[in-house]
Order: sequence, then structure tokens, then C-alpha cells
Amino acid sequence: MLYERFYGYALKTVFRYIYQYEHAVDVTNDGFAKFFRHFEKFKPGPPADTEKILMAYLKKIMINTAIDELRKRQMIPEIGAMPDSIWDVVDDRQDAEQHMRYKELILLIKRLAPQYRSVFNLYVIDGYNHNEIAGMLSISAGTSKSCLSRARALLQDSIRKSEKARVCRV
Amino acid sequence: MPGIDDYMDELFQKAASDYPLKTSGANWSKVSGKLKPVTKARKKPVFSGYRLLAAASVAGAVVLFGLLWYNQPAPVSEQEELASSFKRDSSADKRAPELAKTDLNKKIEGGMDAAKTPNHDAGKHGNYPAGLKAPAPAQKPVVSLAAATIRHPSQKHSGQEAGPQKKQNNTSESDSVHHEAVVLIAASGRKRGDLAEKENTKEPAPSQTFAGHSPAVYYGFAIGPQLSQVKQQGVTKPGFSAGLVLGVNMKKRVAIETGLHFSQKSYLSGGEYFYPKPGAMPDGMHVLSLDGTSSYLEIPLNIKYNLSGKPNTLYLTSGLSSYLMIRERNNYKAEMNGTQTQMRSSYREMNPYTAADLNIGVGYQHSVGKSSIRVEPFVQIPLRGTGVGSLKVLNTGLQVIINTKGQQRQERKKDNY
Repeated sequence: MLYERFYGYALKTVFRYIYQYEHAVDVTNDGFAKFFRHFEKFKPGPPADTEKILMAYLKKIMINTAIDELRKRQMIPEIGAMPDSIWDVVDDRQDAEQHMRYKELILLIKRLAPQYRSVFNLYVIDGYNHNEIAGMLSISAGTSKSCLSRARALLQDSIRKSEKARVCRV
Repeated sequence: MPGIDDYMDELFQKAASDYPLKTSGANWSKVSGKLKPVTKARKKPVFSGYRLLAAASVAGAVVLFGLLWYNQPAPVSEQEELASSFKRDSSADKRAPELAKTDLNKKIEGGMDAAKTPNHDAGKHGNYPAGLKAPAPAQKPVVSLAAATIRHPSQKHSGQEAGPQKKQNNTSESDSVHHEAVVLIAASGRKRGDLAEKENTKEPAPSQTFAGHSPAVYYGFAIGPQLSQVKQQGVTKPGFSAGLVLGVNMKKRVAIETGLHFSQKSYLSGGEYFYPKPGAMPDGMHVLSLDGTSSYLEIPLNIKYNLSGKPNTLYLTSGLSSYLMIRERNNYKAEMNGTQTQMRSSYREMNPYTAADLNIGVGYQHSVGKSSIRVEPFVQIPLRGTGVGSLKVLNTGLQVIINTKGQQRQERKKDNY
């Protein structure tokens, strides 16, 4: 089933934008509802590329749904601890450290203010340009660039601090 | 620095695709429920959901309290109460007893004449309240006057039955006759002879109609609005509490109550009263103020004391409440890294708080058939803080409780006159 097959992919996309895990689940399901409601608009393309096109189409819907949700909440920052139960347990020891590192990086993104977080995700991870980001967030391209710059500065600072802390522990 | 930026970008792109998030919670039913025809969004009505419930509770409590206060009977003497209770028993549901005035007087006079001699048969028909004795034979009877004061209008001439009738067997008719006799004797205020077989037996006084010495379990439902505040900093939107009540009547006037309520409290506070646990807030964040809403399951344990033994009475309650927090949502105004900002948080962890509040209430209960309706203003004084910031929230509110009377009704039926 399409829903079960792409649920994880969609949730991981939304979770980069939405702070709380349960809220991200709700937004993901909202996104799937939109996806199936307007499924007639999806054009599969050649059979070899159908899955790629479908994933790109689904990702776009999920991002738009997440952005709409953030704008509905007026981009007010959220806080609160992340319970350990939302993270997957990685059995392989070799990959475990890598996955822990990735988990920390995602948490750094989530701790950014919603506007910085959205711009960073849209530009760096999801590949939108500043004009497209400006249209999606109803801001100017200049504001988008300054938000990205600010987000990068904060993330660099956080990475340096966490690297220092790791070195001290070792 | 482009080099570092490119490195960072690549690092975050890898992290975004491979980070270990749990994704096993796919639930198709949540999506299928949303796949309904899209309708135009309706404007949220002003009174919706909790607001309507809170408004209805307040309005209902005010109306109910007003009706109860308006209909509250004036204090009466014991003799008048005996007479009126006889009237209620004999003419309940607008029924008229079959006895006409003349028949009534004849029977009573006959009973009183027979009472001149000891060991009268009248004593066989029932037990008389303590202290009541047969009238002295030489004394002038005032039956007709007493009868006139308690006569039911429908008994006047025709002795017609008024309204639908309940079947009365011979035993109950003779019981009612002797009940009438006792009432008249009591109303006349004369010295009474001893008509009871067990003259030394202490019978409960008529006013002790609802003496329940064995534990009686009762249950009911409670609902009402409440206002919450922290350290007298003002109130925000009202919350509410609704749930089940379970009680046990331990003695005549004392009961122990518990229950399970769902409570929602809204509050606001300055940051100086907000004490977050370590790790609950980001480093460097200083809360300036907050407003929030919390949802709880509340388990109260109270002692209820009736100020009188009557079914309609004022009462006091006091006890403790424990909570299981279901959800907490706070909007913060905070200072972080030198800048003021607004932040929002939502917590869904189920945290227990044992004996968190001291409950004090004063209420009025009114008997309605097999049930009682109670209106009870209350205050809950916090003994410990609750929530992520250990806020001590003071609650005041009004409860409307409808509950059964338990086994008291059966014990009342056993009382004989």
C-alpha cells in the first residue's frame, strides 16, 4: 500500500519542519490525505521513474503541509524535550555512532526558530531556491537569504560547541 | 566561508536522509477519516466546545440554586412537620386518601376511646414514637380541630379519590389511621398515654427519618466550571471539571466520597513562579511570563458532613485531590540570548501528582425523589506544584452534583409510626 510504503519517508520529511513528534505525525497524515484527495493531478511518467516522481510529488505535498501548519501557528518557536521513544534503535554498532551523529544534527536544526528552520530545510536539504522559498513563506528573497545566513551561523556555533564537548568527554 | 558551508550542507543532507526516527506508527484509519468531501470551512462559533459546556454549567447551577432557594420551605416546628409529613404521605402525587373527614374523625375518636384502657389493640398496629402515650380518658378531645387543620381538601364531603390511586392494602390503611392518630395526638399537645407494646423501647424521633446507621453506597455525576490562578496573579479563561462521584454514608451525617473527574485548568503566571525541572528548558532561556492550559484526571478523596440530618441540608466537604496530568500546553514569553521571544510548548507525558490539592467546599443538597441534587462552591488549595514548571495553581469553582441516595431510602421505609 502506498501509504505504508512511503509513511516513513514522509514522516522524516515533516519532522524536520515540525517540532513535536506527535504533531509531525498528524501533519504527515494530513499530507497523505491531501495526496490521495488530489491524486488525479499526479502524472506518473515513464515506469522506470514512477517511484522517483511519486516520491518527489509526495515530498512537495508534505513540505507544503508542514509550512502551512507553521504559518497557522504564526511561526512561534516551540520548546520541550524529545522523548527517547521517538528514535529508532540501530543494531549495527558501526552505524550506531553515525546515526547518533545524524540524530544530533537533526536536533540542531529543530532547535532553530521556525523561520530559520524552514529556510534552512528548504534551501539546503530540499533544494529550493530563494525565490521559491520567498513565495512559499510569503517573505522576500532577501529575507530568505538573511534567514539562511543566520541559520548557518547558529548551526556552526552549535556544532563547534558539541565538538568541544565531545573532545572534553574523550 | 564557502568551504565550511558546503561541508555543512553535505553533512546535513546525509543526516536528513539517514537519521534514526521511529516510523512504525502508520495508521491508515487516521488518513481515511480525512478523505471526506471537502466542505467549506465553517466559522467557529463563539460558544463552542468547552465554552458552551462551561457556560451551560454556570447557567444551570445558577438557575438550580435559585429555584432551590426560592422553594426552600420555611423552618417549621416538629409538630407541624409531623402534620405535614402525614399530609405528604397520605396525599402524595395529588392522591386523596379514601377516608372522608367524618370517617377519619370516627376512627380517631374510636381509637382514642379505646385508648382509655391499657393494652389497646391500637398498639398492635404499629409502634409509637418514644414518649407518646394514650390520651387520658377524661380529657376533652380536640380531634375535630386537629382534623380540620390536617384535612385534605378532597376528603371534605364526598370522600372522592383525587387523581390516580395506588392500591392500599388493609395493613397500610390501618397503619395510616394510626399515623393520623399519632399526628393528632401530637398536634393537640396533650399528655399521652402509653399505647406501645414496647413502651421502654426507644424509637427514633420522627425527625430522624433518614437515620442510616449502616454504610450506604451512592454514586452520581458532577460537573462545573472553575477558575485557576497562580499566586493571585489574575485569571484567564475558565476551565471545567466533570466526572463520576462515588460515596459511602458512614454515619447519619458523615460520608466519604471519591470519584474520577476530567479537569481542564487555564492559568497565567510570571516567570518567577515557574520552576522548570533540569533539562526541561533550553539552556540560556529565561521565562518572563506564561499562560497555559493543563488537562488532568483528578481523583478526589473527601469527607462530607451534613449540617443537619434532614434530606435538604447544607453540608461541608474537605479532603485531598490527586492528579494524573494528561497534557500541558504553555505559551511562554522568554528571554534567550539577550532577545525576547515567544515560545510554545506542549507536553503529553502522564505524570502523577499525589495529594496535590486540599479541597474545601460548602454546599446545599436537595432531595429529589430517589436522588439528590447538590450545588457546591469549592476551593482547591495547592499543596504542591504541578506541571513542567511546578506551578502551584489555586482553583475555585462551582460543582453541580446529582447522585443517588444509596440504601437510605429502604431504611426510611422501615420506620413505622
